[in-house]
Amino acid sequence: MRGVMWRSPAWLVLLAAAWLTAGCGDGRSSVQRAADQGILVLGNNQEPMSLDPHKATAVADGKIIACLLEGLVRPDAAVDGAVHPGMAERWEHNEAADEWVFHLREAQWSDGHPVRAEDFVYAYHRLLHPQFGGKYAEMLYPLKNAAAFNRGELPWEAVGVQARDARTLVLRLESPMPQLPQLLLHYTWSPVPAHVVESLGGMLDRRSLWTKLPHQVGNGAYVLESHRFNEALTVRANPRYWRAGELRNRGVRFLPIVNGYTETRMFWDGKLHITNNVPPELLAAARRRAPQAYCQDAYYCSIFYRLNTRRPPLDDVRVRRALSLAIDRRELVERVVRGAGSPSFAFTPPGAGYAGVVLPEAAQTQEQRVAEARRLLSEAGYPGGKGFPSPEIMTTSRDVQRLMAETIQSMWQQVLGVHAEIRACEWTAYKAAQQSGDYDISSSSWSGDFLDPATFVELWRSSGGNNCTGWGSTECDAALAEAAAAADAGVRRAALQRAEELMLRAQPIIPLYGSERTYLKDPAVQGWFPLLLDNHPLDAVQVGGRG
Amino acid sequence: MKRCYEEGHSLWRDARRRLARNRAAMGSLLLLLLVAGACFLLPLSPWVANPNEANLDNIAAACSWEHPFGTDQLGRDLLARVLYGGRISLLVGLVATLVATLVGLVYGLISGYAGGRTDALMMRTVDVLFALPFIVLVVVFSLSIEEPSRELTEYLVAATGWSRESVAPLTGLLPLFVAIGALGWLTLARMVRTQTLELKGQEFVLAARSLGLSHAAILFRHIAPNLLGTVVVYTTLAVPGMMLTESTLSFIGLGVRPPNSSWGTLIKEGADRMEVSPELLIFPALFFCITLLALNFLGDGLRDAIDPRSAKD
Amino acid sequence: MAGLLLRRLGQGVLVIAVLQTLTFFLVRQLPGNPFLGERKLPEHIMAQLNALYGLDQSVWVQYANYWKGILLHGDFGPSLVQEGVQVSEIIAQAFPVSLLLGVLGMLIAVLVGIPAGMLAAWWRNRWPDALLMLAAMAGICIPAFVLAPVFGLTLGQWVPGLSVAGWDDALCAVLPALTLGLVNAAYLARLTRGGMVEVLGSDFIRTARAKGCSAPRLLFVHALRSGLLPAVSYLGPAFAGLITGSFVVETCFQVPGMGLHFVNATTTRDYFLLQGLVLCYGVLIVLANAAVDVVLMWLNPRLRTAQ
Repeated sequence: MRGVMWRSPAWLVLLAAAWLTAGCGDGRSSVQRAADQGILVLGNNQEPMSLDPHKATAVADGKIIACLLEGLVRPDAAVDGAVHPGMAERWEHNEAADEWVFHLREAQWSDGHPVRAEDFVYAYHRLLHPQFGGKYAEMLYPLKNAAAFNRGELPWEAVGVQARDARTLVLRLESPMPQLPQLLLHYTWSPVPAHVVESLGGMLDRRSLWTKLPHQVGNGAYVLESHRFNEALTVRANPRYWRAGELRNRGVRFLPIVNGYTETRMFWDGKLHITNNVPPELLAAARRRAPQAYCQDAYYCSIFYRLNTRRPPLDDVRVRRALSLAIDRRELVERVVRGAGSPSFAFTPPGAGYAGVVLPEAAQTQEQRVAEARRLLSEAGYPGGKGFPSPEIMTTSRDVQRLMAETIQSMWQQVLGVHAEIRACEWTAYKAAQQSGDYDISSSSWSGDFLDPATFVELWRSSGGNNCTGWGSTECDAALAEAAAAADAGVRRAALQRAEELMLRAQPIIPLYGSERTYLKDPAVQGWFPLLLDNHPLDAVQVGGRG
Repeated sequence: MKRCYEEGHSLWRDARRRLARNRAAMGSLLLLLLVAGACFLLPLSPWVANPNEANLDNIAAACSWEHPFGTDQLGRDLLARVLYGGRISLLVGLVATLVATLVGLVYGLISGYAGGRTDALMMRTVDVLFALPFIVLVVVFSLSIEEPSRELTEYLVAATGWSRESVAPLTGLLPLFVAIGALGWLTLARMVRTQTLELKGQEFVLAARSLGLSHAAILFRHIAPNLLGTVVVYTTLAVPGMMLTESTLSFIGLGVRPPNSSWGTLIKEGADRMEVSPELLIFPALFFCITLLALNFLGDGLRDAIDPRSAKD
Repeated sequence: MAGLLLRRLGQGVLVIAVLQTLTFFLVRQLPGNPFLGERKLPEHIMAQLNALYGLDQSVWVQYANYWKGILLHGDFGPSLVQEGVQVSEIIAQAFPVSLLLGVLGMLIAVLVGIPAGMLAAWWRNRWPDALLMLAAMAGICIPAFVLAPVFGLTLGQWVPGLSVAGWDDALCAVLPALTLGLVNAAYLARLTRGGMVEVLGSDFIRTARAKGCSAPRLLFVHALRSGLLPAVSYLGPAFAGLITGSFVVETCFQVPGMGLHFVNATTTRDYFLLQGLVLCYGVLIVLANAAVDVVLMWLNPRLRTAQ
């Protein structure tokens, strides 16, 4: 014991010495040092699950994959929905828009191999392969017979993808799709280096090391430089990238910061250029402290409650409508979410030239809605909430979701005299309960994969896996089928709108608000603009004085 | 060397007298009673608001006559939430103390006293339970007793005529109590066992044994009183931990159900907002700390009073 | 002594085996599975994934395969969530970080807690005692999820060289280690005081004091040995807990340690990763408790005969 005590002053002296040397090194923050090296430091929400476009599903994964792999097209840095040529130099489609031909440019993988049309074919084959278990295989279902192949019903040869020659890729689709280029921006449509995947275990090896160091090979603006779990993932400029000269930084470091409070503190301490998320409670303070750093962008994401229409009393549309009308969305957004959203009575957020559905209640005052809600509830047999069985609101353990549930519970109690329970669930238990329909009311959100209303409205197909409400209608399904078959963009949008309106009137969900992203951005960062899909091409972002 | 041959009840009577003389302990006892009284009785009075009634027009308000502690992030009266939360937390604390003391003490005593194979088996069981991931265990527990606890709710509602809203928060705590019961006693059992090992070799135990006393008598009359110091110290250490564990669990759907509060959940929510509204953290934390401090002094007093060695002081 | 250690080692292996078995069957009782995403997977894809990782087989076959992997190939299995990453790889990266933090934290805890407890016991019921124990109780009542952000907001911003969070410079370990250390120091102080008070009141110390033994000699030579018993019993499991990481401290200071993996593996049902982490923790618990028993015996010869 005495020995240990003796050592203590020595340890303190050592600590102090280290402190001084580190403290006096240079008074600059880590972002300034990173900026000098041309490195952008970015909060990325969580540790990526995979960098393989065929295994990844998380938003955090997608942001990194977009750096490492480039698809046929690439997004614009500032304009939503604008599409630039990527690996494809140019493309054309037939009149029905169900056969597309892409002409690839001369490009190289980061190991010097040429990028060939076969790499795309190989990639789609891999993701759709019945033995591979691609979680996002559905993204490729627009390809002809892709779904059937994925289920093991048809051979690969039947699928509508073909490399006509090394630099010509032909895609044949199930149905007309004038919006195809929007879909192609998603990472599931990226090519993979067939020669590398083959040399490291082959197409069907889910444990393949091809996206890990030192094997990682890509055709994107960056290549993987280092990766330590839960610490940082760094990519650096790929000298073989076809636009290598246009890159405005030399690399990006992704920090998997789970805790929004920690992330915000790190930003103030100069550890990040751009954060992922400011928690609602800190919004006002952040806005005050640094108005030029605070960003609030519209996001292609909808927050809503799923109602289990198989369970009484939620099987009664009047009850569902009463519950929906009784919620004061403006209060909810302003006071609970602290303004990080826009109140909504429709499901699909505005964007992509979709007018959206405007229901009559959207124009009413809250008093009118409340009166209507009370009337509907008593019509359904629960005047003043008497005899109403208490349904359960299921939420995840996230603070915002819990607060929202508590607010809505209180609103229902005050307005309708209806009592609801709240069940906060651990993450996987929540997903399991929702997907198996084992809930009454489920606090949900949906974000679009691509900029097109179909990514939202398609959800409510009666056979749709993510519907989960037990609701379905033949009219809605018919409208969706009509939209899918339409080659004309106007006809298609109108059909989608009709489908959404049918769904909203039946109210299997309670739309609450369109989510907005709140984050902090170093004012010195240039080339970062609000994007609905949050799919910023990071090569266009400039940090510090030079590019 | 040890003097605990007196009759059991005289030991307790002495202890009571000594405790009554300890001013810090009595003050703490009074304070504890006051806090418990406030939490359990005050909400029955008309002066305390409904803790779950949100008022979005009055979010995070400062202290006022109407809201002595101000309001929380949904405009609910913080005083009411602290008082109602106290009920849950005090209950958790009580259960945790009882379980840790009874199970831990008895288990450790037996293990240490028996020694040999029995001891090894019992202590290795503790090792296994210690290393099992707590959350997994609690979730599995709560799933398996979800149905019984729901039935209990229904039964209580039917039998007593209380409203479901007032019964559910309590029966909802059942999984938590089971979890505490299952795991709250491990560390104490280890400590007690070590000390029992030490004590059983001492002269007074040998003397007791040679007098032909039964094992149970030796264990509980002669060894256990010597362990009270450790038990009290450890319990005052463990209770805050358990109360806070409750808050962690309520965030994954176990323990107290939202919108009900406990000191743990209030402190957790307050910690998230400490930069913007510190009072949301300070008030519940104050109650929490005062209660535990009082518990601590009371525990020390209790220990001094019961400790056979302090008898001649 | 050697025989005893050998016996403990044998028991330890048994403990680990039981632990692994219990964990294996318990985690499969949890609702959901590792492949559940935010979006529902088509059933045929879920089936493909289960088949790929052998989760479609009966639990007993899976159990046998798990042990076969470990015993025959030293393979702890793949992560089911971070696919393509081995469990051993994740632990190999996270363990050194947690070990560093744990050792630093323990050092702080021991250097602060034990002397504080001794001083409090020496001046029992006088003002230094009250002051120290008040501080200790504060340390026990203030949870890590309050202490960590407070440190981040104060020390992290005010003291040059320290950062609020992150794992990127020489001093990044200071604040997380301090948080871990102080919380444990408070416990140690309370336990040490308790143990010392007990001993200082006992007859042999009175005898020593009556013989004119000097205060430091009394404290360090005579009292410390048995006075430390409770603190040492606490230290073992606490140390094992510290070096397997703390979720709260890791997320508050952005430390890439084991605690975050522990929680993530549970909430995402990453069966093999959780199993590996529990194994790691179990080995540490067994070792720590065995070490504690040895130290206790060294501190207190009476235990040796009692064993």
